[in-house]
Amino acid sequence: MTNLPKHILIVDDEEDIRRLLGATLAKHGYRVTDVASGLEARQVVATDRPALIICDLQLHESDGLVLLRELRPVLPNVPTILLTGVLFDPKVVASTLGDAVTAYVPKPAKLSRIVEVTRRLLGDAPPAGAPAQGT
Amino acid sequence: MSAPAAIPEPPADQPGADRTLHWVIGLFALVLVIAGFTAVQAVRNLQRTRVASDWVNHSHAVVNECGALLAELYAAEAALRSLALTGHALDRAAGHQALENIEERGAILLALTEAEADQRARSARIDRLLRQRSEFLHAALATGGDSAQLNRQLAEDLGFLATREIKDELEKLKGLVLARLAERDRESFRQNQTTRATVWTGLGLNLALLGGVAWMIQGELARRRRKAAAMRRANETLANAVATQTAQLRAANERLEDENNEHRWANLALVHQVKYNMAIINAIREPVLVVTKAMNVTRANPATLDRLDRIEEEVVNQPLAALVRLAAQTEGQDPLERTLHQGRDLRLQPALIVGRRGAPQPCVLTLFPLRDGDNVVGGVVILNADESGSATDPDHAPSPPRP
Repeated sequence: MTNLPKHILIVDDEEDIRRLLGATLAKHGYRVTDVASGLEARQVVATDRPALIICDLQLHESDGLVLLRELRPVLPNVPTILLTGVLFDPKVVASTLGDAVTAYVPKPAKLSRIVEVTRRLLGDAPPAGAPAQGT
Repeated sequence: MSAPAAIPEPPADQPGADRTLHWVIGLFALVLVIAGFTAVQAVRNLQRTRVASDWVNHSHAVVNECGALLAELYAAEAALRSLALTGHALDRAAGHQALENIEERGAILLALTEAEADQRARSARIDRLLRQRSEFLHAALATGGDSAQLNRQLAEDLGFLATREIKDELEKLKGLVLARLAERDRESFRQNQTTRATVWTGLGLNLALLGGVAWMIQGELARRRRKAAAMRRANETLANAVATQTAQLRAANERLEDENNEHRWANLALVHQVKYNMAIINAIREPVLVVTKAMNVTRANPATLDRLDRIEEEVVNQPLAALVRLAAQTEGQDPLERTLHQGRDLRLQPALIVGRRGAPQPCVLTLFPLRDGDNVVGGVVILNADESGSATDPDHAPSPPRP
């Protein structure tokens, strides 16, 4: 039985954000592909199905919600995380965007919080000795 | 982070190793000295034995010569008496032969006893007596066949006394030689005993010393084995400590890297947030200024700069009154400042924009207090176009109606 790392797709138009988030997730054992646009995201989805998508709200040619709604029929069971620092109150997101995204993480949140949400959505156990964190 | 594991000190190099080495070298040197001394003693004893053997042979030669001299003397005496009885020429010849032998052996005896003073003196006396007796015997043998004359000479001769004296002297000489021989035998025995004792003592001492050296070497080897084992244990402990500290450092480094990434992430989010907020304000087409509680401008959007015909450096940190003032002049505290202090809004007040050139332009000023929690920390000033339009700047389009 092989234990291949799970594939995570990151969509964000800011390169620094993509690189930092990708390096953090790779360090936790995930295989990461990061793209800057919805077009590239659709190409990746077609060739290398991700286990989870982390998407920024604001993209150059569209927005993350539109992209995730477009990908939902192709990847019906793939969890998605909306990542942005400019919009919504989390309570509002939970009540209004639940059909488009699995989870919402404001960008001021810590990287560890994003990793924690990722692990939870992928059903991965936290590493041994990791402190328990609330969601 | 837990305290780093203490790294053990390696076992100190004990000075006992050098001390043992010095002892071993010293004992080996002592063994060599004893062995050399014993060997020298043995060689000297061998030399003495060889010398003693030569001397024994020499002594026996002297004793033999004494016996031979006495026998030749008896032979000469016997030949003379036989000649007196028979008158035979063979007896005369035998007598002459015996006398020649006496002369020869006497010379040999002198030579053999030359080295010893007492023996030399005794030999000289014997030689003298022999010569005297030999002269008589020669003379008696020379009488020819006259037996009567020879018998007369023999009757008058006291040769038995001379022969006895010679015999006594020879016995004394033999006694001297044998006594010296016995003395030297005893001395040789003592030397042999001493040498034997020296050799056995040296051998025993060397064996004891070699045993001691072996014991010290064995002890040193055991000490080195213990030291090597201690070093091995210290190295293992050191390796474990290094591994532990390396793991701690690696964990600390990972935590530091995580914290650094968190800081970078927070900075990126903050920059993103600020940029977005600024984008929102900059997107507003109406002039918007942010002022402090002291009514100094801290920020102006592009629409404001366009309306004031100024660059940002001419606006930021300037008093608001230098850029905009209310149309209605009042005494006392600035009504805008008073409004901020009171934490109230001031809406749609006629005002005048003090431009870079030309007459002041009318506008409508609205001031909202900027709150940080319960405290007012500044204000937001919005300048709307004057709806009357009488003094509107023709270069600027009228602002869209507010929602």
